[in-house]
Amino acid sequence: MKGKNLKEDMQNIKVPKEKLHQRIESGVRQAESKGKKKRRVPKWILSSVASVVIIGSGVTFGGSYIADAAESLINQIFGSEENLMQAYPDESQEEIDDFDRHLELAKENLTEEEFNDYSELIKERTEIWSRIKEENREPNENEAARLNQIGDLQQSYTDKFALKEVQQQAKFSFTITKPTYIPESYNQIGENYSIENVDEEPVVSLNYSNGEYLFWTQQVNINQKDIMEEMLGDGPYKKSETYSSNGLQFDVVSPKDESASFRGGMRVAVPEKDYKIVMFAEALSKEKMEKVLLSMVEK
Amino acid sequence: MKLMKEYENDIYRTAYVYTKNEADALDIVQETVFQSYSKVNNLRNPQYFKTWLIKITINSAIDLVRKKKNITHLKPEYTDNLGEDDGNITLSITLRGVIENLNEQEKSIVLLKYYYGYTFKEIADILRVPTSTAKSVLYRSLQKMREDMKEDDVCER
Repeated sequence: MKGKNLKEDMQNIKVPKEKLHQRIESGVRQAESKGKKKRRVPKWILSSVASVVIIGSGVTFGGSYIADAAESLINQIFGSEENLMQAYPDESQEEIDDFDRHLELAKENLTEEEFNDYSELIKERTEIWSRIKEENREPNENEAARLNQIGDLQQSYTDKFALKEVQQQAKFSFTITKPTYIPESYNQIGENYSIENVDEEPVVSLNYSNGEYLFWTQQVNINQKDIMEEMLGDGPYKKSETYSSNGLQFDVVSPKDESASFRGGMRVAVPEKDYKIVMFAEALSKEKMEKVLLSMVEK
Repeated sequence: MKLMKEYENDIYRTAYVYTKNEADALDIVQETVFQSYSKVNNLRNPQYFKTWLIKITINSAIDLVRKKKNITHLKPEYTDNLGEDDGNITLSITLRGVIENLNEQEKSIVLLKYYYGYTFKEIADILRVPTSTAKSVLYRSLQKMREDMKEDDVCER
């Protein structure tokens, strides 16, 4: 057993308990003083509806959506809201309403058979969580594996209306664009929409893989903070070049050290169309990255 | 807080592998707690809390090591904290071998694989690298440690 010695050695590292607890408390205080922000969508929706990743907090669905209690899909699927809340006791009424809205959208956009299957998955997930909450514990290995499997199955349905769902919360000021040039042997493996911060526009992420290596693009409003800025902060990348090509400005970043996962990143700004696109690739040359980005902006 | 208590030793010990000293490891613990409390609402799959916590710990540790590398060398204390190697030349992975021979990425993969018992796919997800990279880095790490053990063995003879 290769790891046996390592496990024993790790257990032998002396833990300074008192100091450790002090530092944990300091970390908690630090986080609390940063201020509690309200979630915009409950975490259980995120975990059951994995397609729309909404990071941050503060925004709720706009408008005045009030479901008719008797008619609500939650009642139809779960019998009552109370049954649902047993599994997710911390959720507010507003969050329950958001979930009902999500179900309405699912029903509108899926076939009857798909929606029934999707509802069954949500029910099963809820039953598992109800049991876990009732017994006041964490999921065991089998439950965690099944929850994960359910999450993947649900995503195959929610992907079908992810764009519509995110557009209910915030509008795009730019036109979503996809590359017309994709390097040989790469295929698209994912498409996500997310809202990173309050009052911001959604971010469009596209992921590609050739089976071994990945690259992804993120299209965002030109005035929003993009992921390249984060990677340049304390991240493992440094800015290596800025140049113009085809009348557009390109910024190039390269790894600071070997902890970086990607061979490089590139950003192109398209001010007249209100967006910029960031791309990071594990195995593509600068020339190939530029070609992908130009194929996204040249219309 | 209850969950944090359950994993506090693992967080500290994981941090220690990167920093090699108590003070810096405690800084990482505090940073990990701060980040996890601030971002817990972003956790999409609550059943992955532990994985998520380890990921934050590793990222915080790598960040700290990278920052400190530019300023000063980390003060190693681990010789006081560890037992002696048993000199077993078969491929046993010791903490000393991990601390002394591996870079940050290699440490992460060896810890995740042999201490936490994650699969390559899970490691790839945690570190955001392709599975093939996780595998090749692990094999490279094992090779490094194997060579180091051989050198020690030659010196002792």
